[in-house]
Amino acid sequence: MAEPGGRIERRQLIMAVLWPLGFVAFSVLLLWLLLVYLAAALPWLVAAVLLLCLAAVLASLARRRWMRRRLLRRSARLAADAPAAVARDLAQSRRYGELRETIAALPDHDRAAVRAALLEAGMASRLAVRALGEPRRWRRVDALDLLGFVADPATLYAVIEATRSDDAHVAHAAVEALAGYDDPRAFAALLDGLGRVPLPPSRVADIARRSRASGRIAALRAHADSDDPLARFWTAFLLGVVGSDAAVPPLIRLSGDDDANVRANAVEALGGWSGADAVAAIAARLDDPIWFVRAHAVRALGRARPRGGAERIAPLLRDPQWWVRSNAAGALEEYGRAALPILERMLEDPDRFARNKAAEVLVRLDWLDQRRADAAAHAFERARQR
Amino acid sequence: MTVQGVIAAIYVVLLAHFLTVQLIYFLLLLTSLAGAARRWRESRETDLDRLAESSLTMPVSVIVPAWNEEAGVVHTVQSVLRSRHPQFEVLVVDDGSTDATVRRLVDAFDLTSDEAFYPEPLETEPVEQVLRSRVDARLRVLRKRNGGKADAVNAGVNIARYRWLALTDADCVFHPEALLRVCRAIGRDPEHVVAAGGQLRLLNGMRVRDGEIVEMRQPRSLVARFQVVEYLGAFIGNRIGWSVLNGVPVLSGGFSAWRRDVVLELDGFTEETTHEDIEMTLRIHEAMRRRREPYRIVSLPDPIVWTEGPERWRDLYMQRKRWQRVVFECVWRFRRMLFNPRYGVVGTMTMPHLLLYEALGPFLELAAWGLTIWLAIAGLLDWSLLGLFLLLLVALNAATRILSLATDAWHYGAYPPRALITLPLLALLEYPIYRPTILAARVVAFLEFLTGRRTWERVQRSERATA
Repeated sequence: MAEPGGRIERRQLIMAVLWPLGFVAFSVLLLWLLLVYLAAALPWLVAAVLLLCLAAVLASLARRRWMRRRLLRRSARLAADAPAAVARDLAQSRRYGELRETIAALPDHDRAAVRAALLEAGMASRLAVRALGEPRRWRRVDALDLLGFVADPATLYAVIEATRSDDAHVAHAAVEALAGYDDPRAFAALLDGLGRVPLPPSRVADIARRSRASGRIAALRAHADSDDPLARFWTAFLLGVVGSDAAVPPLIRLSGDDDANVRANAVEALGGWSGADAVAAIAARLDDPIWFVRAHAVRALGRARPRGGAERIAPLLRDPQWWVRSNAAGALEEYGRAALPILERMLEDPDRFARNKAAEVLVRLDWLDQRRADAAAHAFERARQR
Repeated sequence: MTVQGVIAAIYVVLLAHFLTVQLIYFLLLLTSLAGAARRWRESRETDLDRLAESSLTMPVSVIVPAWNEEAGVVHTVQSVLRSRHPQFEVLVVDDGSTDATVRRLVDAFDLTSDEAFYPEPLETEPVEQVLRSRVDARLRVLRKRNGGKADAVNAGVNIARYRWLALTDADCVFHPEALLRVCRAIGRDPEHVVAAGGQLRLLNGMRVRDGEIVEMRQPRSLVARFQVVEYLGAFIGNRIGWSVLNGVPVLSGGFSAWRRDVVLELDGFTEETTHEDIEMTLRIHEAMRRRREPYRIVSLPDPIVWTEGPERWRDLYMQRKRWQRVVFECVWRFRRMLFNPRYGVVGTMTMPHLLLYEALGPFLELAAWGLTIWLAIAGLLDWSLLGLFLLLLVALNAATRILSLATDAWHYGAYPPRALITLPLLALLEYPIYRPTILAARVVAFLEFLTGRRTWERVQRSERATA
């Protein structure tokens, strides 16, 4: 393949001639058509185009004002403690896009009241029909979004079905909607969606992170044994997010995984616990042959802050990888003044990177200022005693 | 064919060129309208509140190169630090300022020396000091020897911790959701998007307090008001259209986001052109298309950053000379892509557009006006036809601008209602009043390009904008 700025290719030359010629011919033809053939009508045409453009501006302005007024009206009715009336109003609406915007703009307590009223009005089944049967993409998306808001368990099948759509927008809306359901099946469907739906797995995991469905740990335990490293990777992340002690055993298992990315995510997640089992699993990864696993492990140990952890972290200040050294410095900073004796000792370390990093942390911990203050206090005391 | 016939033919071709330019812009606008509507719908799929509290939202290093920017740098940093984003850092790179840029930063953010060692994958002028803020740990300031804007950006790239870099200027004010909006767009296709930009709006006239826009107002000066119209047309009516075609010619230096590994792979930003943003955009296009790697450079319809524009005709003239010079430089530098189908949309559309309409356009325009005057003096002009033609030209230009304004008002409503009345009027006057200055700057820029003259005249900063 040629380098940039190299010789001009033959087809490039041909294009260079044909391209401007084609456009000039087209433009001349257009000019002739407009100035000769349509000359009499042209001023009217121009005026009509400009008027249409101005009308578009005014329509935009009117739309914004109308939407704001409508929202204010509904908010006023909600303030008057009439969510059922508002919900009835909303339930009668077929304009689901507008409905979404209205609901999104409501405060949390009003949203809950409107949700209950929408459920009572039987909105969920109408939405499910539209989510499955509507041929137009954005209408399906709107319906799925509202299904996630209403979260009627009877409509879960429709949302799970929609996650199988080839259309990324529909699948995305369905995955988002699943996070709204307080149902173990919804969470399991989210996990199944990792790597299957036409969305980045990070997006699906982020949506699953928000789910408050019951039985999440059980579903995640099952996924921790998956053959797919991607599934195990995101399972480790989600186990860390759930925050239950029941997540620790599977995380410890994943911290010894064959895949380095899974190990890194598992130790990072374990940083949220300071129990002996979790700390031992993190410490075991400080010697991992893969540098980014060490980097995550040392950071996790800094977050867990177990007793004696600083002693384990200090040797990583001389790690060959910059990121590991940097994370080790950050982890020691987490320990605060408790790490000062170790850091002072590291100032004498034969490794210059370790000395530098220790000095950086000491500066951040205001060690120099403290030393100066101590020296001044000592001198003052001595002077007073004399 | 007589001489008169030849001149008439040339004249028709020149007029046709005018029409083609406007037509292309109008077609780009239509593409933009579709792109903006689609992006707006897509943006509703991901709630920014959720992104703001998610640990999976991609972290960003914001790089702010500054050279003698004492007037606005504190406001800029304040506005960036005010961003809603779960994990970002701000790296101000002082490129050897001779004014009080650093002192103002030290006073405002309580900076202290940070004796850290950093890897330096890109070669730059030596970094003399790294400072970090005691007030906000996310802020670091690099002091380095003067080496130009690209060199300062490269120093920031070296020290940046995160995979995504956001570049902005030290006279810009961030929208609080700027970073989130860009991350949302990148997150839709994280494997392929390598760079992203957003809408730049004019800061002139706005009331800014502690880095936050507290009142949206129109600029007072006519020059700045024309620029409001022009920016709307350029960003909404033009860039989004190019983004839909994946042929964005430039991501503005006012705000752009780049993947760090791609920037490093291409040896960073270069000082060899007047502006580094258009050069890097085209370099990424060239590298990716040459290697046949799937990629996307996206331009968002969301308002992202407000920047200060020139308030005086002379400053505008100077600025546009610079902008035009870099077009010549880049067309010459990337001539291998011109009309080359191997480079897809960029080779067959973006680059020819840059050459024929952006680089050579002003000369054709000048020739057309010259011939018009000559024909008028010779008494050979059909005034009614010329009148119709000019009417068509002004109307097409105004329609492009007004529809851009309508698009903005429909989706975002960034301007107050009064502006929606005055800006369309200015769009009608843009062609006869504003364009001659731009035309003069663009023609002079070509002469400077030929003579190899490269200067960076500073634009006088408005105190009112940051009052």
